[in-house]
Amino acid sequence: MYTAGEDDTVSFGFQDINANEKKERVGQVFSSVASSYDTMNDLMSGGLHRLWKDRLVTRLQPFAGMCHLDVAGGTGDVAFRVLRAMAEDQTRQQEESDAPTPVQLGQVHVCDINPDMLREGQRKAGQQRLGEGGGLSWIVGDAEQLPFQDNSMDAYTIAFGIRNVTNIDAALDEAFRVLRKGGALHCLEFSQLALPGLRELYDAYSFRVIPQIGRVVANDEASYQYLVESIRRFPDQKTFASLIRDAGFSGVSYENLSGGICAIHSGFRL
Amino acid sequence: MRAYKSGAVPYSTRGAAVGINEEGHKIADFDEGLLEFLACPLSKTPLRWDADTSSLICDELGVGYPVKNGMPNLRPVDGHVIEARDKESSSSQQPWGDTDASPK
Amino acid sequence: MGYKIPYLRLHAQELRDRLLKAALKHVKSKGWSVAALQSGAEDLQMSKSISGIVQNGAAGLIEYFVDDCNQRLEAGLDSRQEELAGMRVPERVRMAVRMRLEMLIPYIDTWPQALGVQAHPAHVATAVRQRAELADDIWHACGDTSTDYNWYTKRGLLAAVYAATELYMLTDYSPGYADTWRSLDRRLADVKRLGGAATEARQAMSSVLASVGSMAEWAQEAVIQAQRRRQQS
Repeated sequence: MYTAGEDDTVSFGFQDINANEKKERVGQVFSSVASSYDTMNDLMSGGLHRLWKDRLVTRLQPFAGMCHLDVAGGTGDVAFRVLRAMAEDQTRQQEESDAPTPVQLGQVHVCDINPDMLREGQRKAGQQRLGEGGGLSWIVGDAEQLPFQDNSMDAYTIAFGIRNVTNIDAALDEAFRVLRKGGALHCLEFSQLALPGLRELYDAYSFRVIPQIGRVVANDEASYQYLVESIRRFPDQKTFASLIRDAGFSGVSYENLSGGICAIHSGFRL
Repeated sequence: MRAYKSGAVPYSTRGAAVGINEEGHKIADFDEGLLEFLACPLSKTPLRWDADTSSLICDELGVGYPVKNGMPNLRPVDGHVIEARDKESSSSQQPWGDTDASPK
Repeated sequence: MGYKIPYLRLHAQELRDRLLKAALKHVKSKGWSVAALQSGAEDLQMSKSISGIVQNGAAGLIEYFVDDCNQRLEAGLDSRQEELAGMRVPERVRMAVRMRLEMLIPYIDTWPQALGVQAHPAHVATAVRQRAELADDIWHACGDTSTDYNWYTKRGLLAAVYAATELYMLTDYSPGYADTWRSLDRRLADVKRLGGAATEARQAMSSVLASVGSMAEWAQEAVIQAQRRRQQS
């Protein structure tokens, strides 16, 4: 993997490599962080995160023709599920309908602050042949200052992203702004455990084990230490629900998953 | 699909027109259908696509945002103030898209 | 009755009720489903995503419909008190059950699907509660104010009579559902005949219940009958 001793060597970490290769290596490091992010999710949640995301999309009730915004999910996990559900609804409607006009699929916009995550998502979409008809769009943007017009979206999802936002109120205000009348917010996030006893186990696991996994998987123990701490800092279910109400949402509720390891909060713009 | 080097993008951008970048890899151009939804993150007003500079322009604030390989970069930090806003200056009398006058 | 969802404030509760009412108009074409809720949302000129405010989808729509029917029955019996006063208790019960079952007529084609949804483990407790409340309300409106042990037996008997008649109705093609009302008469006669001593009452209940079975079996039976109905039409 190393090619030491070539002409025109530059330093890359502790290795000396050919100048042309550096550009490529840098790109590979970014993409390896993005792909190890998914592996990290897997290890942290014991694979449960897939079930949680399935449940999020079930709550969302996607429909053909929908205009959907998924925020902070650059690698595409939630977006792909939503698009597939939209396509299923499109097929169902076309089979049932007598009308000759075709049923529109709709659009999923994936918005993330990190372009590398989005590129990883594009790569995965290409591999799975998703969005070839144009159902997916990839936008680099900030959840606190979204680059979308008022009243333009049917629904907004954010999965394991809101705890990393500096100003949660701003992100919720922006979510409200871009939703149309009747539009839905569904937020999946780590939360405070509802069952005592599970709490001690989870604390031991998260504070000791997860950063070690991060060190091994992504060479990045510090980031995963931060990750664990950010989960601790995030408000509990009831408090977060009241923040959502403060942003103007109605019909606000939450559903605990896996004993309260995470929760789906939902709200509507009426 | 073969593995992608950095800079190339698979065809998952909606309705993409295809161009070629410097390295000879196919890149996707911007899908103007997105203009229906997109907005300047600061002013929240609609944007205008400028193919020559490959950027989205907010005329309200005189700010441009780059579109790289079909992907709009619309974080507030991505915006750059556009210089030739003065309607009187000669360079801006050329309409956008005139290759003789467009800045590179 | 008038089941309120605890987590919804007033504005959202009103909107939810309006959505459910609008959705009922689409049950005939879309079934008891999220699709019916989404069509209701279109009628209200809101994003279809508002359907998520009914957290358990089709089951929520059915629950709303059943509550609404039960409320309409209560109001209907209330307004016909003079008429009821001139009848004996069994005849009052007959009238109340008939009034309530007639509310199913506009939805009779899709009602087997609703029974199937209600029988799902997540939703069956709600359905049983609603049926128990219905039986209580009918007995109360028909002048039965007893609270001795017989009351529980009577409530069970009435719920069973109602369910048996409901199932019969799903495949009744007679004009004005005349055969269903005759079937109801037979069931009520059974109850009357055996409604005296405690042991006899319990036997009556178990025999009526045995003929109907558990909720899940009711639903399966309903689905089979609906299929027969489709084959015949």
